[in-house]
Order: sequence, then C-alpha cells, then structure tokens
Amino acid sequence: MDYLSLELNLAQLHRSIQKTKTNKYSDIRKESYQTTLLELYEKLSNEDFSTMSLLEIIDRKKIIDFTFQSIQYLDNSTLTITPFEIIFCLEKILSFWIPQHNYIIVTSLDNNLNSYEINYSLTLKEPIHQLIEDRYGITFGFRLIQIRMPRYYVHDYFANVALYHELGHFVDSKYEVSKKYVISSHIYDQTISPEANGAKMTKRYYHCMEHFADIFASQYIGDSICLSLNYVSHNHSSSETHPATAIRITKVEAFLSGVTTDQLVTDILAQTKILCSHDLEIRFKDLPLDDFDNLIPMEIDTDVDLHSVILAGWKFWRRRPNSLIEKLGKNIVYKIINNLIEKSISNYIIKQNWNN
Amino acid sequence: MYLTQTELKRLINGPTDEPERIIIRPLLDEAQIGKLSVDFRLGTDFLLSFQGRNSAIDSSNNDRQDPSSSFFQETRRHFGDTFLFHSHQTVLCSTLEYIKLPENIFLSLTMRSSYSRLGLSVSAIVEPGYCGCISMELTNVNNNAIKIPVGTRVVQARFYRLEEKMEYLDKQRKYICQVRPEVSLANGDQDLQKLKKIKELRESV
Amino acid sequence: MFFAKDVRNESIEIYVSFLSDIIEKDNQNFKGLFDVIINNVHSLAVGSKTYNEINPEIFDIVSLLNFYHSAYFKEIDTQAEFDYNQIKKFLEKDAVMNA
Repeated sequence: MDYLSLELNLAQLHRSIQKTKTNKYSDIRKESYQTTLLELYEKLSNEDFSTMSLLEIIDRKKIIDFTFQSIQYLDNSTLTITPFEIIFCLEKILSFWIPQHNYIIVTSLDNNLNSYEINYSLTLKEPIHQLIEDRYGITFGFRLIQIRMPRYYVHDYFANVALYHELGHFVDSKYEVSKKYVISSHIYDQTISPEANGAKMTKRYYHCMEHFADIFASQYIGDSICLSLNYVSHNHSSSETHPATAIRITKVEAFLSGVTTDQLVTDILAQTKILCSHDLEIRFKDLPLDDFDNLIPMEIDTDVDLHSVILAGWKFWRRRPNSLIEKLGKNIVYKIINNLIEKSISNYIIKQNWNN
Repeated sequence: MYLTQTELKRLINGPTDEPERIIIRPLLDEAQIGKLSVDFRLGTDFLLSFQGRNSAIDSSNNDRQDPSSSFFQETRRHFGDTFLFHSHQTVLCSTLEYIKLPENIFLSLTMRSSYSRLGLSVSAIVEPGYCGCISMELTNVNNNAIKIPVGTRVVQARFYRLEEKMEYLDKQRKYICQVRPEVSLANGDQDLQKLKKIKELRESV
Repeated sequence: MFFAKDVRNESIEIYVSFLSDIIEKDNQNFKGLFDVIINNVHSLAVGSKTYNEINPEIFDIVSLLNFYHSAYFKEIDTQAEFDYNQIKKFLEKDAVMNA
C-alpha cells in the first residue's frame, strides 16, 4: 500500500459520498451519523497522503474502509419496504440484553435466499473509533448494525426466525460469552505449540457460538428454531464452523426442557449469567390459536406475546388435520399465517405508540 | 337494515362468542364508532403506480403471471409519518384496521367529508364474512398534492345487516386476510380464457 | 485461528498503530488505553483476574497477549513505565500468526 493507492481509494470514496450526500432519513440518528461521516470525509480529503509513513497510510486505509462500509450500510437501508415488524421484535430483545445501547439498526434486503445476517463489524470495533477520535477529534454518537435478509422473505415469519439466531451471535460477541468460556475452559496442551492450542480452541469456539445463538433464539421462539434448523440444514454433519444439526437440536431441546445433565448447555447458561445482565430462560408462552383459526390477528399485550406469535404461527402450520388448509390450500394458508403474525405484531406497535 | 351506533358498539365490543361479532383490530379510539358509521384509518403500506417499460397494464392476459405487479412499487411509512398523494394520482392502500365481518353484515366505504373536500375519493363494498384490512384505491382529484399522516381517520364505513347469511369462503377468493394492499389479480379471472377464445374464433373466421 | 475469528481482530493492526504513536509521539490518550490493557494482561497472568472479569471491549487483545506471552506479563512491573516497544513486537508477531 502506498499513498497513490490511498488517493485512489479516497477518490472512490468521494464518488460514494456524492451519492450519499443527498440522502434524507426520517430517523434523526441516521441523519446525525451521516453528518458525522461527511465531516470525517472532509478531514480525510484535506490530508496530504504523500507525506505519510506506511503506518499512517495503513491507518487512513482503515478509516476509509470504515467510511465506505458505513455508507454502504446507510445507503442500502431499504427504507421503502423496511420490515418494521421483525425489526421491532429484534430491537426489543436488543434493548433488553444491552440496555442503553447506542445502536442504529439498518436493514438491507438481498437477492440471496440464504442471506440472513446481522453484520456488526462496525458496531464492536472500538479501536477504529478511538483512532478516528484521536486523528480528527470526531466522535460517532451511534454504532450501526446491519440486518441483512432475503428480499423474498421480508414478510415470511417462518424463515425470519433465523434473525433471532443471528441476534444471539451479536449478544454473544458483545459480552464475549463463548470466547471467554472456551478460553477459560481450555486445557493447555504443553506438548503442542501455542498456535496448535489456538487451533483446538477455534473449533470449540465456533461450535459454542452456534449453540449459544440457537439457545438464545429458542428463549423467544421456542422449538421453532429447531424446526427451522431441520428445514434449512437438515442432516448437516459437524464441520469446522458448525456442529451437526442433530446435536444443535439436542442442545436446544435440553435447554427448553430444563435438562441439567447436558454439561455444555449448563455451562453456557452459567457463563451467560455471569457475563450478561440477564439469564438465558424461557421467554415465550403458548398462545391459544383461536384467533388464527378465525383468521384474525392476535391481540398482544406484552413483549413476551410478541415473539410468541411467531411460535404460534409455526404451531398453526404444523397442526394437522387443519380444516383451513384443506379448504384453502397450503399456499394460501402460508400467506395467511404470515399476514396474521405480521398484523398481530404491527397492531401491538401501533397500540404502544398510540397509548404512549 | 342499517346499523347505528348502539348496535355497532354492541357488535364490536361484544363477547367473542357473539355470532354477529364485528372484529376491528386495532380499534384505537372508541370515538371512531360514530352515530351512523365507523371511521377507519390510513394504513402503513402503499402501492404506487409508475410507468415502466410496458406500454399498458394488460389485464386480459392470464398466461403471464402478475403482469400488473410490474406497474406498481411497494412502499411503507411508519405510523404517524406522512404520505404524499400527488395530484391526479391513484394509490392503493389499506386501512390500518383489520376487520372481520359476520356472514350477514356487509359494509360500504366512503371518504370522510374532511378528506373528500380535499379531493380524495374512494368507494368500496366489503362483503359479508370478509376478513382482512380493507383495500382502498384512493384517488387525488385535486390539482395539488395532499399530505396525510398514516393513522389518520380518512374513511368511514356504513354497516348493513342482511336477512340471510353468505359464506365468504364458499368459493375461491383472490384476496383473503390481506394486511397490505395487493396488486390486482384481474388477470386471474376465469372468464378471460373464454373471452380470449371468443376473440380467437372471431379472428379466425 | 481462535484469535483471528472475530470482527475485532482487524483491530490488532490498529493497536500496533496506537503503540507506534505512544512510542514516537508520546500519545497520552493511547497510553492510557494501553496501560489498562497491560494491567489487565498482568492481572490475568498472575491470576488476580479471571477471563470473565476482563472488559469485553478489550478482551481480544488482552487474551491474545496473555495466551502467547503470559510469562512476560506475569513479571511486568505495573508501577514502572511499560516497554511499549516490546509489546508492539509481540503484537506484530501475533498478528502474523493469527492472520
């Protein structure tokens, strides 16, 4: 990397900035974040890269990358068809687990059917913010979290349970639950190198993260996370990054049934208790399906009910025999369930806004 | 029989096992139930028509799937945000409220006077047994654009009781349990096949 | 690698940059930040703190330094000026290992 490459990079950033400059956001936090980004860009463009050392150039590259990524997150935030309802559910959980956070959730809709992701690479990277503050005296008041989901599943609450799992990863990373657990419980093998010890921990860490995320999700949506896993990654065997699907389901079932003989589940629960503000526990209930039977949205009164509606949707779908499916056909019923879940959540949001 | 306030309140607020129960969710304000009608609010979802590559919306062709959808763009607003109805624009939207009507009651939807005076118009009949948010095609006939907050009471519904019940699901329904406006499925009408054949026959003679 | 799998790990390079600033420009802000990190590594190394007690925001760098250089940090004198050059060398080597 030399200063000429950096200047090219900055020119590319300039182009993106010009496009972004005219964006207007109804969310004043996004407006504020964008204003700060533009300020940062101004500072960058006033610098003479040709006089900088290699280390300074590398620093600037990281800052430019950060700016690019922030613009990408804000720009791709698909305002016109934002899935308010699922985002609302996730925001509730986020505020519960990370009180007084300064996160702005932006959503991005993807054409890839498997693109469920909560991207927090800009959220937890404090050193880059410290670097920006030191170099330019600029402080970002907020952190961006990008939720990516398939465009075609915007209104699909069966598929969107994946986002609860992804949020689990974020909470895990925020508190370093899995990482601390794995490193604390690692028995250092003196006969092999530190790197080899690191490699051993890696797989355990990846697997632990998946179990944490599954259990985290199941707090809110019960066994629908298992149903989703069976559907999405049926019969997957263990890999470097993911445990076997069957094992993942076993852990969730152990958690949901309160089994205390599963050591890993017990350890994850204990670790979470120590590090997070809350315990992992059941946070859903079995809602009666009468309203769905009558083709009307449920009246939700509490945050617990909010997530339970999604579980109810799964239960309704899987309940057989189902006279509605026989009458209307599976495709119509699939659409109806999603609509009723969405409207149940939407009505809860509206009533909260109205009454507050 | 035309339903007035007392009866409307009885049917809307009545017990869940009331056979003529009218479901309105959410009913944010009891004051929406007026003496002769119930006010409904502007919902959060909109379908805007735009001119794309195709020259016309072909409602006659049911060989292609959803030709109408390419002429419409989905957009949403938060509750309380405003939506702009451009001059001479027709927008597909729906009521904020999800309703379910009993099988012997239907409703007729019109603009509230305050909004028809601004130039907005709508007209719809909702059949007995209907469930879903009520789809509205709002047209702004004013020469000026009109800005309306989502959640505003824009339409009013008059309810009528029939002497006989009519099952809503006794036939295939194109729009059921809608929670947002949906593009026309006119090209799904069965008659179109027949009409197409009539045309082909005439042209082959 | 364990310490590479994280969004925070690109930060190792930034930490190296912080150390350069401390060494070459006596950057007091970064010095304050690194002193906290070093003290935490020392506490881990001597056993006066557990991993769970380390602030998650600096956990990666603290655990990385402790994992690979525990012996050094165990002996460090927390009352004296730290050898930032040495720590920089550690991180440069660790960044290569965990790339």
